[in-house]
Amino acid sequence: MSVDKAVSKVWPWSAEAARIPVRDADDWDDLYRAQLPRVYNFFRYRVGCTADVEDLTATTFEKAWRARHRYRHDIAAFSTWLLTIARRVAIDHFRTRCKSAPLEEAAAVPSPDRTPEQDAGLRSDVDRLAELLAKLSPREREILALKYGADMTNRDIARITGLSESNVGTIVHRTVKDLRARW
Amino acid sequence: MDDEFMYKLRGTPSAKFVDSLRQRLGEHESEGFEAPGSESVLEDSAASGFSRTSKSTRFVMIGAAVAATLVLFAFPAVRASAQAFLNLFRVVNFTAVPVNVDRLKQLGPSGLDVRALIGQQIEVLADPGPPQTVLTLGDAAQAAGIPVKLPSVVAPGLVIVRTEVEGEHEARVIGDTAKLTDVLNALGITDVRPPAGLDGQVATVRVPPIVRTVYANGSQEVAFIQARSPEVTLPASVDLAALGEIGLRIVGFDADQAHTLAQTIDWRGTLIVPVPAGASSFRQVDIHGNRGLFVESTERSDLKAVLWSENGLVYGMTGGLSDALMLQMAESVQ
Repeated sequence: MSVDKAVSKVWPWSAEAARIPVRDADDWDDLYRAQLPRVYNFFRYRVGCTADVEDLTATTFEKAWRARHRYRHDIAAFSTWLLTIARRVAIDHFRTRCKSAPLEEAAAVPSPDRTPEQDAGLRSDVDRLAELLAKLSPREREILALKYGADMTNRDIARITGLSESNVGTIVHRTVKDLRARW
Repeated sequence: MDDEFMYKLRGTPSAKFVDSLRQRLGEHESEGFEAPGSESVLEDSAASGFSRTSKSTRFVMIGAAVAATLVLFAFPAVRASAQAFLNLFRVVNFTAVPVNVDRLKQLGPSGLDVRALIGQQIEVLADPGPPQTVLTLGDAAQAAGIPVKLPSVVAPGLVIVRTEVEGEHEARVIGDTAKLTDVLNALGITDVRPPAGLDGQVATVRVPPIVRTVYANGSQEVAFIQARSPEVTLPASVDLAALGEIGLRIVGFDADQAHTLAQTIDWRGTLIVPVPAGASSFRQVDIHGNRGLFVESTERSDLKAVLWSENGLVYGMTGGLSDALMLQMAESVQ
């Protein structure tokens, strides 16, 4: 079942219809497994701390689950709605923590599919990128997190952030170019 | 642009985390949705308001609200304030927003009055007067400057009784932070304030000519409306999402819901259609592959509307036919 169909079935758009209890656990599973990596990676780029990333991802999904009757698929794609919640969770996180996460914790999770050498190389790249991201302004970092972490289009990022699509494109291009020069 | 390196930070959540979170969410499933007490102000206050109102008063009030709303989004004769509200967007999509009628009544007898919301500095630049009846569709097309269409399928017994064209409207609206703040204060909303820099900002609203074709069969009427999309020119510095969030709060959404909706609505392309909460239902429909909106009163069978946009034109059909017939007529417009 496609994500869209699962969304419309599990997360009905009208308040009246949404009062029908969710029964189809399989639909929710499809949705959950499709969107979890996007939210998870949004936080990896936005926050850069493995432990916090999992906590923040969990918080986002718990908030979304509790507020699922408010989702309106006539207004936005489910992923956009979910990332809107994630964005607010990140803002709350920074508001309460008031500090950036340790960069070294942002390294990739070791994988049994990679050799130790490959892991070391990847970790090095991850550290470098995390270090560069940490020096960006909150707005630049958030936009890159939505772009490269959550895999969103410039148009969707514009809708979430309130910036124009061209402005998002400009910020992405300029920031990545700058990072590339320092890579 | 070479941005391959930007993907280096992406990772895969561990299976342990995925499974444990899924299990935790599963435990919430038995809890269902948020408790009614934590739902939107809209629904709660609407319910409590009704319980304090006599049945007859409620009927009249809701009936009037439904009628007013349907008239509002059916592009009626000039109502400068309503038009200023409706046309702050170039219409691509329609989205229904349930409105707490009781809450709007707090704004005074004028109800949803944009003059009260965004200031009294509305200057009408073009007011063409009442609609003019035309004799042929060709005349209508010429007057409105659009290719006039009609449904090829019409409910049995319905015949065209008149076609009229309403001329172009244009108005200039100047932002007024103090007035908007007064409205928020009057409604007890203290956690949001008008965006900085709103004062003195000028928006120009243009509503192109509207063609209205009225069908009738005895006392039953169906109106088909078509027009170019309304347009608004706004300074780039105006924060539409922030203004939209305020608007949603005013009509009764709670803080979280208003913020989330405001951030996800495409304010530059979505026409917000206010519908009375508890007295109407709405759903998304597909007209020629375009996302449209079907709205109906739950208390009066003769108040239904289909709205959609296509190729820069906005269409609407109102009347009391069955849902299937309304949609069939809308689908047959060509």
